[in-house]
Amino acid sequence: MTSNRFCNRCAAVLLAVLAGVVSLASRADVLSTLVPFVTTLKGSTETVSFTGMARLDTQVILDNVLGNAPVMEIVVDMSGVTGVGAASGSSYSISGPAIIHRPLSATDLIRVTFPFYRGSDLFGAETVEATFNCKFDTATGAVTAVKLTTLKM
Amino acid sequence: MPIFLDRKASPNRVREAEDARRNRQEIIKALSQGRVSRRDLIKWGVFTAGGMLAWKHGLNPFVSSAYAEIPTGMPASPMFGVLPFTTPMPRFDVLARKPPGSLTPAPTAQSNQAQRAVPAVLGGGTGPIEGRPPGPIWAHQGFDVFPPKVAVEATQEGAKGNSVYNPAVPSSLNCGIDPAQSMPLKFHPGLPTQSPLAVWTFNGTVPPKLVQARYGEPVLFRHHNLLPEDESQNGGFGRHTISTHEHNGHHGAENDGFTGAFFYPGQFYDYHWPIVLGGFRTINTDATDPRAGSPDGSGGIVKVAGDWRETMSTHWFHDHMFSFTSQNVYKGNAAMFNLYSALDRGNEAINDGVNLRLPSGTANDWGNLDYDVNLMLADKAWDANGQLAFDIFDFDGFIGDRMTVNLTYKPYFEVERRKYRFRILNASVSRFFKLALSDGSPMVQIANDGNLLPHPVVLTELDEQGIAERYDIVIDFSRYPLGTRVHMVNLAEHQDGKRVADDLSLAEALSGSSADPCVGRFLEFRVVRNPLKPDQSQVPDPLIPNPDLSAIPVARRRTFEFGRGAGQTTNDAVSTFFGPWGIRTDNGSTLAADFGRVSAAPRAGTREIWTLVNGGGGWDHPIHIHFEEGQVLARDGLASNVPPWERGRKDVYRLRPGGSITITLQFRDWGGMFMEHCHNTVHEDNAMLLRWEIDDGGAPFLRPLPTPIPTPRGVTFRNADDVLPTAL
Repeated sequence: MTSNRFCNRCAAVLLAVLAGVVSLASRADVLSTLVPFVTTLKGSTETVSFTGMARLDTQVILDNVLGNAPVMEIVVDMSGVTGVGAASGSSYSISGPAIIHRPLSATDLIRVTFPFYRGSDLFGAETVEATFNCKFDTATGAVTAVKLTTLKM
Repeated sequence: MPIFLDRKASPNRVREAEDARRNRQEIIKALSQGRVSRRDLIKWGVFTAGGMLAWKHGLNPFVSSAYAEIPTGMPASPMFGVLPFTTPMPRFDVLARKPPGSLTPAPTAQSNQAQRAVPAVLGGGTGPIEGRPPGPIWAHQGFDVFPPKVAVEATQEGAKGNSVYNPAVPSSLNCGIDPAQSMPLKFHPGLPTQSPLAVWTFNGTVPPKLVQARYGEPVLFRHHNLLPEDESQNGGFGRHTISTHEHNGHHGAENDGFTGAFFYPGQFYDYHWPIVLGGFRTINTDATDPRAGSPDGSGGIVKVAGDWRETMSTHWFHDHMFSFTSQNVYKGNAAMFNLYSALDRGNEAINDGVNLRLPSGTANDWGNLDYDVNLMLADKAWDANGQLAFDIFDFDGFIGDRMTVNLTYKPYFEVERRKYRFRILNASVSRFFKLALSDGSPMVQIANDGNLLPHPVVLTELDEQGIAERYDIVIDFSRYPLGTRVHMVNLAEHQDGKRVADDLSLAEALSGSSADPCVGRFLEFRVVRNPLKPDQSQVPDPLIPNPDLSAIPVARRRTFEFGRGAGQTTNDAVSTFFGPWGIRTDNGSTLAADFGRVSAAPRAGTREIWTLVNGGGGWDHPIHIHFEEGQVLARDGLASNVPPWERGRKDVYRLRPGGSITITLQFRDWGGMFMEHCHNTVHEDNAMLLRWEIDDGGAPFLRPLPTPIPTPRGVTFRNADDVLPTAL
């Protein structure tokens, strides 16, 4: 953990407490953010153009019993994104979702990898890394700003 | 925030931590040997009532420290100059299958109560040779209908060398390991040999053991307890009484390894595993469906009764000793069990329209292990002498600092350029894993727990894998050029035993910046050659669909909440245990474990819906329900929250912090007393466990069933301490 991130976490805890969000319920509401996902990836057999909306479901989870720092549950769902192969015209899917738990922080780089594949060719799948550079409302878990970048691995 | 002391900690700090660890080991030793009770320790101020280690000098090295929130503070396990990926990963050691007639004495339906002399250290006198509770209630159900066809015999004993290793594959498929060479019990050739008191494994040896069996082929597993008779001879932790749970066998409760049906050194316990398909009494009873079947040994199928959609594949078995499961499993009481069927044959070439032809091999009709590899992941720690060490402080869980695979520290494994199936077991005490390949390549998940999924799922990062969960995956190494080295990586960072603190990105995990020593690369795959034979395996879609339960009425709904602050309503010295954890059933009180209490009693032949609730957001719990497979209906109340890899059948359910999961189960075929508990075994031992039972399946059952109370001189029975008002 970098010291910056540690400070962010401390700040997040402090903000959460100051905002008075500590309640008996340990899970806040799930908040969904749609992120336009438009990218072209150079696959091993052809170039694939992806379009659609990635969905980030974020949820703050509080520890009301032991008082430890909150955690964020983040579900990155790519089912709203489809791809088309430039040469074959075939449809491509991105599998998932990714479900991760991160310390609640005002900013975080959510870097997750996903397989993408043509038709039902699971073993022909290749990998894309999606990086969501997020700012969060630490009281609610809402994404207040997000920038997406992708990288073919 | 490190779990273990920083590598740069001052000598004084390390000395202080060593002293503290030594002092804590004395307490663990006294506890494990029954010389003090947890109540005594609370009274003396060593533990808080919440089950935490008190902030005392000489116990907790972080007293007066700026890092006082860190509960464990163990010094790092010394490495004696050993580097990662310098020794091969041994395959599992396959236990011999013998004719049942070879067992002496012959197995019996009811427990064999022939007497033997009980050693003086266990109280003297005489006691039965078999530790299974006597009488008709604990007789093997269906012993006449499903008489054993195969016997497997194993001991539990202290560490020793292995001169009879059987990997069941040629040396060329086992990294060149020569099985004829005696294998000392070490976590790495460069680490010290484990003492017989430090490690207690099946047969006293490594690699971990594997049982292979087929549906329609009942197994008699005779387990001999050869652990030290003297309870104090335990190397500081571990209890010499054991109970062996075949996780998650569809067997009668007398063979389930009930936590209170433990047996003593010098005794054996006959476990009868009938290996039947769920629903065999009501579905496909005339055994006409070839999908409900078993390999016949010569390319065909022996049809068996039951629901083919209940076919299971990857099990394991381990100790379930009441309140000592964590110590005993950690000490080595863990093995795996592959089940073979018409669908999951263990032969990738047989093309009969039933066999799924998953990666395995072709040499044998069934059970080929050439390309079907068991992986047992477990974090360990050792002391300054390199001997296995355990620390129960705090009761949130135990986290080791050294990753092992098949009880080998960060090994390598040679593979061919083809598809492999890996049956991955999380055999840790409290650690969750999240796995990826170091180059981000996809893996195809085909099974979750014991069950093949309805559909394969391609993933680049597996979901968090809780303790006792099994994930079967297929990796296609044909994508790599010869000479490639690619690693399996753990992305889940822990700061303590409560839950995953941070699911790192692949780049973060590979960067080496995590303070958790078990994050990052832990297994190296070396792509060493092209396939010796063509890869004939496939991963079809669908695999095994779920049984359709929608037409079966829901008899009951129950809620179980897993949390802290448990109370005790009973006080039996044998069947109760105090701890900070507990389970709240149907909105009653949160109760600490008592295996004499019945918390739920579903009626035989019914279906129920159970909601498992995490009582807090500060921890996760992998909840295991014995005996029956469940289907996940919802997470946090929504079916849409259930990810694709949880849409099959399961037996361990991760609640996620503050989360809930709703499942449905049928109760059928067999009866008796079973359990439900957290498989973070520190939580289970302290005291997040309950008993449920099916006791209306007909004679000879009573309601409720009497509770077994084992002693070296035989098992006595008591009436149930308590039956919750909502149980029946």
